[in-house]
Amino acid sequence: MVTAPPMTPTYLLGLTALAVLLYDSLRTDDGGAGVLTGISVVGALASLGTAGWFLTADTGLVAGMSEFSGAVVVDGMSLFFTALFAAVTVLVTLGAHDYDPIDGKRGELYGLVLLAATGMSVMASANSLATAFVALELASLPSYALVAFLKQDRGSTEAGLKYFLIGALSSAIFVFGISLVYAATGSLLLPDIAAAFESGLGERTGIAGVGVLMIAGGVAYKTASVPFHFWAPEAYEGAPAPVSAFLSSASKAAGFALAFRVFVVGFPLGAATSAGIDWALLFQILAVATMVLGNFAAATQDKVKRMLAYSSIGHAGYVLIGLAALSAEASTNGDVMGAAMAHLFVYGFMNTGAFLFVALAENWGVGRRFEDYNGLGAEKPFAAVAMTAFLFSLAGVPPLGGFFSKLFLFAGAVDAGLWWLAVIAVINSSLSLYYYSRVVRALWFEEGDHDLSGAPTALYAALAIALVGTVVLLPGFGPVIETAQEAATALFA
Amino acid sequence: MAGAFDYALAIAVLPFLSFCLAVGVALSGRDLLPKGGALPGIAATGGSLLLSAWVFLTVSGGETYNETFYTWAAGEAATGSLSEPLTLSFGMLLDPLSAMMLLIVSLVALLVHVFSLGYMNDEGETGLPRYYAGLGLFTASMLGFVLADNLLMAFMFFELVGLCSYLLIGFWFRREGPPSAAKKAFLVTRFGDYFFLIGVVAVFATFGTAKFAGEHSFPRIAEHALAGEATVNTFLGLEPAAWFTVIGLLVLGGVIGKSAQFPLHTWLPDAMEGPTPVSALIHAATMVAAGVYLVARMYGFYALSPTALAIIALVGAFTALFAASMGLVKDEIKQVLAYSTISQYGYIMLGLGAGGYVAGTFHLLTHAFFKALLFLGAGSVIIAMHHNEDMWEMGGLKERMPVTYYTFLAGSLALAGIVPFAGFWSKDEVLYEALVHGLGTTSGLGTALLVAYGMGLLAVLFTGFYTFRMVMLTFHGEPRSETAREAAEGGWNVKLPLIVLGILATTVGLVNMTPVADLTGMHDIELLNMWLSGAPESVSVEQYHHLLEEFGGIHAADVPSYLAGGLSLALALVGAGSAYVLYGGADPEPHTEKLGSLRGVLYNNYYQDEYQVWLAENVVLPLSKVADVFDQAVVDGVVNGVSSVSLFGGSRLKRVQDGLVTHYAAMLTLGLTVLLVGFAVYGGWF
Repeated sequence: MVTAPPMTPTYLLGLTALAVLLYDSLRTDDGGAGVLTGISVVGALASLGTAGWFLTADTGLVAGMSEFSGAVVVDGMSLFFTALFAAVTVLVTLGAHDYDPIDGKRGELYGLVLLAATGMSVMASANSLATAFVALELASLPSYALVAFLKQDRGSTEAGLKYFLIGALSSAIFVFGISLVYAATGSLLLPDIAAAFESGLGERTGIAGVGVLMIAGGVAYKTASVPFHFWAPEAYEGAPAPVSAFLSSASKAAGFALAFRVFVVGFPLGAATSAGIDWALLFQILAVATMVLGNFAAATQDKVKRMLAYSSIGHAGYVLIGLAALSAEASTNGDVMGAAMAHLFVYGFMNTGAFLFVALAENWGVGRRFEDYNGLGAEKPFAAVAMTAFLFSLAGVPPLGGFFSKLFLFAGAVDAGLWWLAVIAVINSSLSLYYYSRVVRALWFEEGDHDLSGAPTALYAALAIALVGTVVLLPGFGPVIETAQEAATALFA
Repeated sequence: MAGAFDYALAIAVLPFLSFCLAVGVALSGRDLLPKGGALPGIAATGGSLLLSAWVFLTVSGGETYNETFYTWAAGEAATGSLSEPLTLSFGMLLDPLSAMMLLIVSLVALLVHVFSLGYMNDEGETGLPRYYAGLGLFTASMLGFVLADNLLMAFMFFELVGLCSYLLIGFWFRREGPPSAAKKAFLVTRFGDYFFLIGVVAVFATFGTAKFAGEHSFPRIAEHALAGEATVNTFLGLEPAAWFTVIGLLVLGGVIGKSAQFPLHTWLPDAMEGPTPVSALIHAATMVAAGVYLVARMYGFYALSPTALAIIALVGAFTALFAASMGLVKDEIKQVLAYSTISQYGYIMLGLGAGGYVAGTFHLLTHAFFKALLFLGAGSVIIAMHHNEDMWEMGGLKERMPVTYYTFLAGSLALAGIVPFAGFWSKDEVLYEALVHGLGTTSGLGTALLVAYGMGLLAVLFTGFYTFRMVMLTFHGEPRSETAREAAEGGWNVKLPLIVLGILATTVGLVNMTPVADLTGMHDIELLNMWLSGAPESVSVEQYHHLLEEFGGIHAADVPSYLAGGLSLALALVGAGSAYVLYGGADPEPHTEKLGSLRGVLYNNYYQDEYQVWLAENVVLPLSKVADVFDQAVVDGVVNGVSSVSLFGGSRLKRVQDGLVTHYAAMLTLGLTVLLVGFAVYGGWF
């Protein structure tokens, strides 16, 4: 009997990338956009389906299975995140099909997106710091190219360069941290590092501490958390909108996937705290700083895309609660981290959807400012309704998906005893309603005059899928949060 | 086999479907329905009537139904000293009381639909789909209210009933009076419902359930709690008995508003601005009945509190007398009926408060029929008078409208309480209960009941007078206007409901002839008493009797019922007779003018409206202004302050992002260094 390898969803993403590049180099005419989009969407869907199947069918994978001498592990969490990356990839490739500025270069864009998604998927599976670093680079390098994709556009190239420079600095910090941890514990495999922590670090505590903090820095870069967030507003604003959607949803989630596993498995909180390396406190500080900075800065923006970029930083702050609210041996750990994963999942739909609407607006050429969106609701009601749902969901207005994920996340923080963190999060969340509803007001309540081209089918389809994801997660939230919390609880076992 | 109870839900659903149909057609803007939606309404209420009759027969076979069919919210853990978590649910309670009420409501609703054919369609009114939609929704809400098995569900339908009342009173919204009357009715009843809502919350907080019947019902738990066999949550530091009285009085707020009891009765006379069939349905037979029905529904709870009973009895008796006195001087036929309605509901409250559960329910039953009859009769007169309602313009209609006259007379005799018409038996029983319980009870409640009895007895005299003043002025003597000389009776759709109700108003009192039973010793003719005894134990007459004796301290003195009945009959005859003498001539004088300034006081309803307006303008308005100032200055000030601080902070943060990547790298490194140093010191790494 043939058994599918546990990493099939990851392989499928990588193979799809190769298939796209192969077709792109073999084709002779200038057409073929439909085929390229088709290959990408089908490949990503296959990966999504396999991951979903592995998660729900009785394959025994949810409990965890090590591959390649323990360098990677496939378990519930890695499958959950792979499904998320694949879903975002479907939305982004579908949306990019109608995105005019990349005409003629779709093969490259899809290939890079798929390769980055492969890297992210490996990040979610990384069980060794070496794998983690390689996967992070595999995810990051295509991202730099993607941000700078519009070669003729000064904003895009400038953003790409800035992203690359900050990325290089952050990668250096990350890999330096890895080397220090290796020096202190003598291993790159997370379980071995954990064992070294448990048996006491002695004189090497300081080295390990600096290493842990620097690894946290690398993770903070990937998740666009303070103080490693500086690249995000400009990269998101300068990049083509589908790429912004991809980076702010999938790439951020990948950073968290890595963080969850490395910190929970590699640096067990009980041993780390008793050695004076209280990384939960570190993440509490980062969570507060990130959500406050993201939301407050978003409130004063005047371009929609840049507002979304800052709001994306704010959301990273919320998700950091998933790490900040952990404590040694607490029974609430699985619940709060699962809630953070579920929030990332919902975020994958609503945030991608919001950026895709921006892509649509760029296609229509209506401009980037809030007031440029005036009156779009009357002219393109479906897209405007979808955008309204995304924004309200991002703000956490019931009964949309974002409300439930935030509810579980904040409730998890309260259960873990961090009520003050939940209070700050709720205050920030209500502030976010202010700037999200500015867009809604522009869409529906202001008069505007536009000369809009038609409704691009694939982009509309992507919006519709994201809308369904945002709204259907209302009744379907039960399974999502249960899967996420089950997968998260397995990490603590 | 499917029984009546399986279809009972359709009793309320059928009129709702008629509402949906009428609304759909009204929205389409086309005249699709024959008779503007009357026929679907008649079919629906007819179906409800048949089903109600089936339920009635099934209940009389000794079967009852008390089930929850949908729980829409359930708590996870019990709160306070309760044993079970709280649940919010929908369900049906079908027992003798609700079966009887279903029959009354669906019958009157059907007859009102038929009568509306004559009153609205034949008069060429516009907006008929809207009218029949309102009637349909009203009937559905009222039936849903009667079916409700818990207080919260009852509250929801109670509010729907209030909404429909608003819509129907304001049916002629282009005129000046109706919209204002509709708003008044809505606001005044809402004032009472506010207390009711707090009461509902208090019931949930105290007992964890709001079910009316069964072992886990709140009256039952309250009883066990008073006997020390169960624990409940109490608030404000009160003992259970005192706290139950508070809850009872809160719910009573809704009752007083809806049943137009003093001091919230002021909306009902104004509500006569609505179409007359609506007055018959809503302000006589059903919606106003919702209030007292609620008291009867949760009687097991009120029976535990002597204070609440005394207040109910006193409010009822005072309202009965007070409203009757105002009815003495009114000039418009519907105004007289409006005050008589308030007064009669006062009697029902008096009966319930005096421990006469059967008596109160009995008067509810008889009043529903004879008052619907009187309103429809008045409607018939108003059609003939071309919507002139002034009785001084009428006169001599007896010969021209015989069917209306004789049925109206039957209703009037019932209202005045003349033997053997329906009102005599029930009103007499109410007064009798007040008397024997007043004499037999030693505590302050006994005194209160005797005072209430006195007021009720005096009101009998007034009732006889104003009723026959109305009959004399309207139908007897010579016609006093051109329209009255040319008046003609309406068609079958007017006469048929009058005849049906006329027969009922004459005979329905025979179902519970307590004086005859006492006189002859044949107690098996007290059919209503036996009927209500067939209820499940937690809502049966015996249970209430037991509760009243044990917790209410109410005992009955031994007074022959025919003596009390004779006394009230004599008073009614005196009242009616003096009206006949004063107004029976061919061209009666306006004798009430002789009352001088007293007439002014009565005619202006004791200046009730004026003082309520004064309260609104001089007490509520200044308070609202203070609240507004607080809201503008403090609440909005804080909100605006927070938003300015946020925006200022945001613009500062924005400046950090200055676009220079070297600055970013510097700040990034600096941030990491601060964290590293901070944690190294905090963790003592080196």
